[in-house]
Amino acid sequence: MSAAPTRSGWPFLVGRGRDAGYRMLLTPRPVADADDSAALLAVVTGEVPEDAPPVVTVLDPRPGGELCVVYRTLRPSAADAGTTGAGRPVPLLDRAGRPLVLAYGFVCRGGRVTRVDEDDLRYARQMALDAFRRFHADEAAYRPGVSEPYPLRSEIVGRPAGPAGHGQVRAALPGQPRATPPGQPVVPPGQVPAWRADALPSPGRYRNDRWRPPALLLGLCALLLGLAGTGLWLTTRPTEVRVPQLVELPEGDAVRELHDAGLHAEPRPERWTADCRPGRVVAQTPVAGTRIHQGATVEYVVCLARRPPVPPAPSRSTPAPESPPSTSPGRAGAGRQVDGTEAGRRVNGAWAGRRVGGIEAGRRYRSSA
Amino acid sequence: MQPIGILLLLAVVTTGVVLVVRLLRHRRARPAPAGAGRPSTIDVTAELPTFNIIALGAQETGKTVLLASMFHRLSTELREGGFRLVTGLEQAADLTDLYATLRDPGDAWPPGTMIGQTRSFSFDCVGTAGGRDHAVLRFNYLDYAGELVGGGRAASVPVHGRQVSQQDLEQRLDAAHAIFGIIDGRRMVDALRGGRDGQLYLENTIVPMIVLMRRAECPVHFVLTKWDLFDTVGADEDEENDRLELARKELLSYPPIRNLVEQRRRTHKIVRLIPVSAIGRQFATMTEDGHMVKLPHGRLRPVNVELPLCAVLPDLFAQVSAKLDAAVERKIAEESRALSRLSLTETMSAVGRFLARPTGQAVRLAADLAVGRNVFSEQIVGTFLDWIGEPFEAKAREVAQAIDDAHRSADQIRLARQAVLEEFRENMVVLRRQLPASDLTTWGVR
Repeated sequence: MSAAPTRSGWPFLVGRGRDAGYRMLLTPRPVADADDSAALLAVVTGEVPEDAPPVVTVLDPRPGGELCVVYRTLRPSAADAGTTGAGRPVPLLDRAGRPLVLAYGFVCRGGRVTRVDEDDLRYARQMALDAFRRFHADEAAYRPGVSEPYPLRSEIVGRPAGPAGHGQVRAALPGQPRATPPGQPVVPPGQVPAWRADALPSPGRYRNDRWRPPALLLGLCALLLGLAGTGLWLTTRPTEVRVPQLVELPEGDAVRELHDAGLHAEPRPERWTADCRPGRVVAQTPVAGTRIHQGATVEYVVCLARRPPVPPAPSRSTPAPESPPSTSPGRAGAGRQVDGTEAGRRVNGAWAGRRVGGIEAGRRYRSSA
Repeated sequence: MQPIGILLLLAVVTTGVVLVVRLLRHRRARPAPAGAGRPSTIDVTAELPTFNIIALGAQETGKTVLLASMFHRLSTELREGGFRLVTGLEQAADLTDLYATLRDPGDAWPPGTMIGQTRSFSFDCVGTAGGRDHAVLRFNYLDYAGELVGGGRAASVPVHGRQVSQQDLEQRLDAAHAIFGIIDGRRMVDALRGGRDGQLYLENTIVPMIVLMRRAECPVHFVLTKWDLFDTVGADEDEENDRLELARKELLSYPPIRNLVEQRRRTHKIVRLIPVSAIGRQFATMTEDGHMVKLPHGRLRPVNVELPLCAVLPDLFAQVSAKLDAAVERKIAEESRALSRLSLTETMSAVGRFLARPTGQAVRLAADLAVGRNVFSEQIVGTFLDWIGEPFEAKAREVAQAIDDAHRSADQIRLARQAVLEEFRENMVVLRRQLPASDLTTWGVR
């Protein structure tokens, strides 16, 4: 087939007969080549009387390219079918007694018809009626003809503006019937929006529905309470500080150190030993470096300036408790108690990490009788 | 104070505030309880139970004319306080124009439906309660060119797009709640008189339709059009039911139809034969060449055109309840009575809970077995529960006692729906009583 000129039209005819239903009776060559007659059949959505403006519809994209369709309808008479002569027109009827309706017109490619020349439609009508006469003569044996191009006089502009979907009615002349109303979804001609399949949801959806909302609410409340509690605890929990080294410090400095660290100072009864320096701290608890809460109490022991007087001996002598056996002379006597009753006794041993009157010593300490 | 603790507290407080605000907004956005304001503010149309209907039939059987006549008949109440159909302005105008053409004695018959004119009409079924109208359910009705189904001589010539359209039709069949097999009364009369054309029609033309109907799980009915032509059939048969009996026997003498009815009878499914006439008697007559012509002063008096639509819900629900054990059905009826104390909006959430219970599971299973899982929605289950309860009068009394002022409007909608269901049921009872031959199976309506 040779390439057709851009401004050519191809006539077409959609119609039915006494027995045969609606179908393409004359197919435009581009439509036949693209095997796209169904789209053209779907374009015809109602009667357009011959005294009314023709319908102009643009279909795109089609397999053979964009198509502009122009059509009207007629109710053929016996004279149109060539079966009777002049006189009062006798309408042709189908088997049920209903009037036949033929949709005739032309299609063109590459643009949209903006003004229809009636001569173009007259030629298409003539071609359509020729085809209809052949069809009417023998409906059962008729095979649809294929139309060839003819030059159009109608005004055609280039490609219609704006995108369009497959098979969408994109443009139509004002006043034509069944134009898609503004705001309405555009449905391809001849197609009906699908029905919604109203299926019940799966049974699992309902299984725990009854308990789901309260369970979700309870869970959310628990989560919020937990978060709030954590926040409150983090906000109000006391700050930890390290216990400063007090041993060997003068008592006044030791108390200041403790106050600076936010700790409470608690002096314990003073003690005397032979080698301690009077007025200085000889022991503390907790030991230096321990992490304790701010405001906690730190106890300390201060060295006495001189040896306290020995109380008079009791009337019945009581043997002094023995010191634990030392592994070697001069080694520390671990766990040895130093209190008033022991004062004056020679004690060899280290205090470090041991309890002295309930207080842990911070350093090695030697005492002698 | 720890920074991370402060941040956590802030986050919790913010979350709490947001949740409270959202809750308050949600409560404000909810529809006000009936009675709290004007009852007219309640809108349940978005949740209407929707029933899809397909009228299958070859060309020239009168599908579109039946549709126009049915709409005209049901666009006003059949009886005082009954239901009526409403549709969109454009669709109403199309159907009214068609009906006007039909009833004008000086005008030609409406031409056949073109392939491009295939449309799905939506009709809202409006009931009345408390002096007000309420849309209670919706019908989708597919109207298409008979060429797409084919059969007979039409099938011998290829129709472009038939394959695509038939695929679409088959998908719709899966979502349908009722299928009407339209039988051309004119050719049926010819067959009853021994005419070759009529016999060929029954043998060949309706076969594709029967094939599609056999696939369907939902109720299927034969609608015998042009019933006015049967007045001249069977000179000895004065009674309408006797003439219908003749048509029934003729139909069942054809294996495809007989097998379809037997298949559905075995599975406790309903098949009706409903005679209708879109124009009625004494409006048109048949000429010698077989054409129907309008009488000069004929007056349109449609016959039974409303019945196919009225049969949809009772037969659908009867098909489901046939799968239910009697004890389970009693239990469902009890639960249905409990639901009837609720407003319609409350019912919708209650239906979800009902479906989670064993009785609800039984309904689901019965629906799956009886009509296929794709056609029952929660809204339809709600309608089914209304239908399966006690007779309307008793229920209405009970509801009247139960409702309080706060829920009056919502329950009016429910009462309107129950009234519509009852009218459907009554129509089927009357049909069965007046035309027993209309039940092609031995198993009938509840």
